[in-house]
Amino acid sequence: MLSSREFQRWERQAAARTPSHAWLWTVAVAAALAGWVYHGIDHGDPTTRWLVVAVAGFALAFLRAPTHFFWRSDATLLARLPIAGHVLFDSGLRRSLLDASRYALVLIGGAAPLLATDAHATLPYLAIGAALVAMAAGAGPAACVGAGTLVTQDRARQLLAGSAPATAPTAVLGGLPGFVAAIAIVLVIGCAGSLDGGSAELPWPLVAAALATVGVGSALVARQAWAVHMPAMLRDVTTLDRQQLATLQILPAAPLHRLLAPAMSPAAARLLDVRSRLMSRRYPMASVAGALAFVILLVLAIWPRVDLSLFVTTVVSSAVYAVMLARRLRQAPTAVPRLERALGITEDVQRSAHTAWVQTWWWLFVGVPGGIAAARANQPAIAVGILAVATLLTIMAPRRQSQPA
Amino acid sequence: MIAQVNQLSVRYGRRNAVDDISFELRAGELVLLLGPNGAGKSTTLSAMSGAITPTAGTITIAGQPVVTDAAKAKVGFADQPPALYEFFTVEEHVGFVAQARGGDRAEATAVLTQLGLQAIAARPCRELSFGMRQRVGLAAALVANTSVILLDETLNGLDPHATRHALAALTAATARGAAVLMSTHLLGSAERRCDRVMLMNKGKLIEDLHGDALAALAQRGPTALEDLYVERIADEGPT
Repeated sequence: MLSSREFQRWERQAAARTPSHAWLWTVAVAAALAGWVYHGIDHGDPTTRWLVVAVAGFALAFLRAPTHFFWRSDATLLARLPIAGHVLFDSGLRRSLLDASRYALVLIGGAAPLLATDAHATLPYLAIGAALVAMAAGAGPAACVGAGTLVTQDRARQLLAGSAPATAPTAVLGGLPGFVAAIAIVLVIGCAGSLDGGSAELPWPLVAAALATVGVGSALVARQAWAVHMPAMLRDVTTLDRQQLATLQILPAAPLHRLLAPAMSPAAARLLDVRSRLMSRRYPMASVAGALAFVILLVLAIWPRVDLSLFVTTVVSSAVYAVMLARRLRQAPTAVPRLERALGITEDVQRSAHTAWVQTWWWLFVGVPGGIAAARANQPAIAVGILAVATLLTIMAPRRQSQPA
Repeated sequence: MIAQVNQLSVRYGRRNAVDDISFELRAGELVLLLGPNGAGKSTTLSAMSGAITPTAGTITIAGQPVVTDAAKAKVGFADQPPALYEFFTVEEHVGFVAQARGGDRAEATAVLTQLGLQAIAARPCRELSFGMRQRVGLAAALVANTSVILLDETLNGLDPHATRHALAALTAATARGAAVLMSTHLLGSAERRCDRVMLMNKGKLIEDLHGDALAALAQRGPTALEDLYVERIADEGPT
């Protein structure tokens, strides 16, 4: 049977051939953060800017973990092969470590202006950043495998009781990692006041130590206790995907997506419907992040003439997130894309459905409130220009060729 | 018995995709699984491959539950369309599957030669046509001397030469003691070489013909199986 080293050699071989600009993007984001933090030195809030991005980046890095463990595009194939649980766990952990190292690079790059200004005062921020990296690298995988174990054990219990397992609690697959990430974020917010020597609910050394310990410790515990369930997880999650996608008994398509359907070709409308359900279930964070952007832009619209930096940050980060969502649409982590190819769904139909989904998200959460906020900003022409460029970016994002699943 | 399916049920929501079916596969058998779209053929094959968990029932391969590594190493599965690593070459993909089953990566070359695929061995999977993908899926199902070979409409989309290569490889597999269970809508070549025919409809196994019964059916003429299919399964469209 394959050892961890052999399996990862195959994975590295596949990764080396898969077109990816992840490291290039990482450097670009780190440079952008450094620039924004440097700009913040003149406005008196560079550390706040760094910390906001650190928390947002943590959420992204942490919540990518399920796609490295059970929502892998090759889950169906791997579930059928006799590959040991710890080998599958190590593979997911390696992918999470890669994500965490990219996240670390962004944090270090972004902190460069702070280090140059006052290295000593920056150390508490870097310590919290390191703790968040440890959480993303270790606790993300642990939360995923823990959630997967809960699902497999629940199914086993149901089967033993002779009841139908059709209503297995898949919500826990995304819900548990989300809950753990939320606790870490609350702790960081709770200690934020103490990072620059002020008073806070929690002292930062305690929070940093706790997060780092949980991050490293939970990964070790998960490998020891739960990795053995990985093959069952892949199989059960594949089963649940089939059950839920076959009957479409998942969250209903958003009303806006249903409204768009008559304006599209029947094939694109059907695809939009399926994608809408898939995204609602797989990426509930899309709605949460969208709602956050909506609230910020709404506040800026109601309270105009403030500094443009918050508007720019919200619109640009929302556009980057929309591009990421477009990529998720192209890489739906199930057997669905293969089935769609077999059914003759063309690239054009896919682009049309994906564009409709991304644009619905964009205009609902960002475009409309952003337009009002831009019109009422102290530099409306610049604000409208930035919003227009960001919108163009989100329109172009789904037009890239689909990645094979 | 090399594979045993006992009271298998798979439910998708409120719908029974497979409803309490039982059968066995014997070593050296080539079995056709026929039925209309939505009859439950693919779900049965997927459950037998260990890719999905049954709602009820048991599946054993050589006496081991299908979820065990020992059983998985013996089962080869080609789904529709086959799951391939798109950025691997054909030889790498089949080699990876061979190694995962405990075989030798070099076995990939032998299987690809057997299926007439040596010319595309160095091509990336993402560049393959539908028919080529089907053949690579078949190669991955056969590699590492699997003893239960499950094929989900794998012969569909193959040209006559490729079909001959595939059937020759399957005949060779049955000759070494493997059992082949193959769902298809294309009767003809496969029908002539099969040892047994099972008919599914609405999740139920409604016919299991082998031995004398199958020989008697074959004597009724070249369209006898198609006639039986039409007779036993009403034309209701997709279910």
